[in-house]
Amino acid sequence: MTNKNAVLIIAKKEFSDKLHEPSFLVMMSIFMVTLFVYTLGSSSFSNVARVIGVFFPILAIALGYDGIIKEKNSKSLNVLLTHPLFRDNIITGKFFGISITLGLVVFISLIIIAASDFLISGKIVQFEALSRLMIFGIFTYLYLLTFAVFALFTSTRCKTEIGSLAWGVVIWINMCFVLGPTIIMLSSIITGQSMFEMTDKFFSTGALLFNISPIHHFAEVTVGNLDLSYGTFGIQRDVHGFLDTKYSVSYLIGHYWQNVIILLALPVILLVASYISFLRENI
Amino acid sequence: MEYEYPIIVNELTKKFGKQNEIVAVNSLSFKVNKGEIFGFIGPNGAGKTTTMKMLIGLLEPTGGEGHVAGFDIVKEIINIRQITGVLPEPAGYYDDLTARQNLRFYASFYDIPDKEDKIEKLLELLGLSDAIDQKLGGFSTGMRKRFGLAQALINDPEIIFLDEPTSGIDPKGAQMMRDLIKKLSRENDVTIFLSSHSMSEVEEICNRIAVIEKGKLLAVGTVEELQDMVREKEGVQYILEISDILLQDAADKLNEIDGVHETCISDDVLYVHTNTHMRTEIAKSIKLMGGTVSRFEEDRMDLQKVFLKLIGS
Repeated sequence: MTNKNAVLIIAKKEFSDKLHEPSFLVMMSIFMVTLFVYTLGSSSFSNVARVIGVFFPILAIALGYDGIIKEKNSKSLNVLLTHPLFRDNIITGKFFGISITLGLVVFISLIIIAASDFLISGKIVQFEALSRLMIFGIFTYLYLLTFAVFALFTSTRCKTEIGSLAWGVVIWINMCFVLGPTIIMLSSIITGQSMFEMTDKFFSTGALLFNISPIHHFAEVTVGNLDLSYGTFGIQRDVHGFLDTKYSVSYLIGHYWQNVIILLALPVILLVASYISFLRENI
Repeated sequence: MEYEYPIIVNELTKKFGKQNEIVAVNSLSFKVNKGEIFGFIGPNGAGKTTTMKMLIGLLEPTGGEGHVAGFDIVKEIINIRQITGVLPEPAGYYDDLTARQNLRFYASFYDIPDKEDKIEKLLELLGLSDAIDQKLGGFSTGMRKRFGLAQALINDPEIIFLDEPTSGIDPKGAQMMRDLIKKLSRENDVTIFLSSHSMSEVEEICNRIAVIEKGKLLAVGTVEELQDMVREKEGVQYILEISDILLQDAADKLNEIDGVHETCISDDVLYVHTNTHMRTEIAKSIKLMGGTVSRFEEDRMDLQKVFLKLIGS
């Protein structure tokens, strides 16, 4: 028995557990309904991205918040760790299980919505449009994965499932509601200017500070907006994210490379933090 | 891997706290022989579970070393887990899965040729055949304990660690577990490391016993060896029923003999506490006084008493 197999066994079980949990169906339904509303209604894509960016992280948190703490509190971790596997196999397996579940929700929803859109509207299926939609799916996935892995991290730190969920909610509220207005306020204090003046100095200060916000990076790559959270002004840039077909994908990668790297790095950093936290703990 | 002793512990130490101020296990050293049932007893907080957790790799020792089946308990823990079975306390399982599904999950960590057959046989052995497709959430405490033993046996282990295997089980279920543990040791030559609060259980099934208190090893040996240790320290107590002479006269006479520590009369029974075995001297003395001894026995110290004497209660 190799450790790779142990990771697969844990991942398979985690994935199977998630599929049988009500939260999976709830998440899948909400995701599809939101995209359907966009597809069939007159809502702008920016509004859909806003709903996904602001509200969907809580669904991702619901996927990961009990990953380790549930095993700890039910004492099944005591038994699991007497079998031939390392602790890091458990975290890695849980990570893969959660990642696959999230991927399933995001991509299955997108495929169904795209297929429905083409069927309903009678549009001709274009590779370019499909590939851009998949790129949007990848960034949505990475953005939501950040919150799911953060929840996995809190599940290694907290004593109860409620505590872990509460930390997830606190971070979600701060990231998606509080941070945007706070950055605008800070930019105003730093530059001594009002947001309504819209000077380059104010704008560049705000853009710099927004680098600490995951929703900012998601907003940049999907719709070319500075921020999507409520209570702030979303400054629309000239390039409208990866869905902007005026620009080629290679050009957009060059344009958004920093945002892309941060979106890729965040889940990895949080996964490493989860490893460290879990490995240091006495069971 | 070939090994002489299934478990060797040398100066094993575990400390907790920011400055290692809490010593849970203090320089513990002992060896467990192949095929024996080794009992590990001590009061609450003595360090039994901490020791077991170090041996199965759930805790890293602060000092000392330990080997299970010849493998180092820090560096080679996966090798240890491949050939050991553990029933921890407390133990939890996946309540939303059936007994079969739970065992299938644990079995997937090992290369077991015919998993399904193995699962069915194990559950039959533990008397859980009827509940094989029942969810564990509906199992009673006794059934869960038996299931716990089944998951510990899934890989045909050479060494089994059992932490309170019969706690919370009814007497019939507990006896079944004890019989099974004895059978495993006897027929399969499995070494069993058993931690328990039940002195009668340890006395019944263990070949040797280690007594620990406050993380320190107080004694190791068979029940008889432990009894001798206590006798050496505390002396021997005889119980006598005598006729034809007054008990008080007999007590006064016996008190004059060298080595008799104390006498006491209660309910027409004379208790004589001596430093060593003095059966012959006492019998002679009573006979010389003209007394007739109708009962003369050494107060048998069961493990409970031995344990209490050893820990100084």
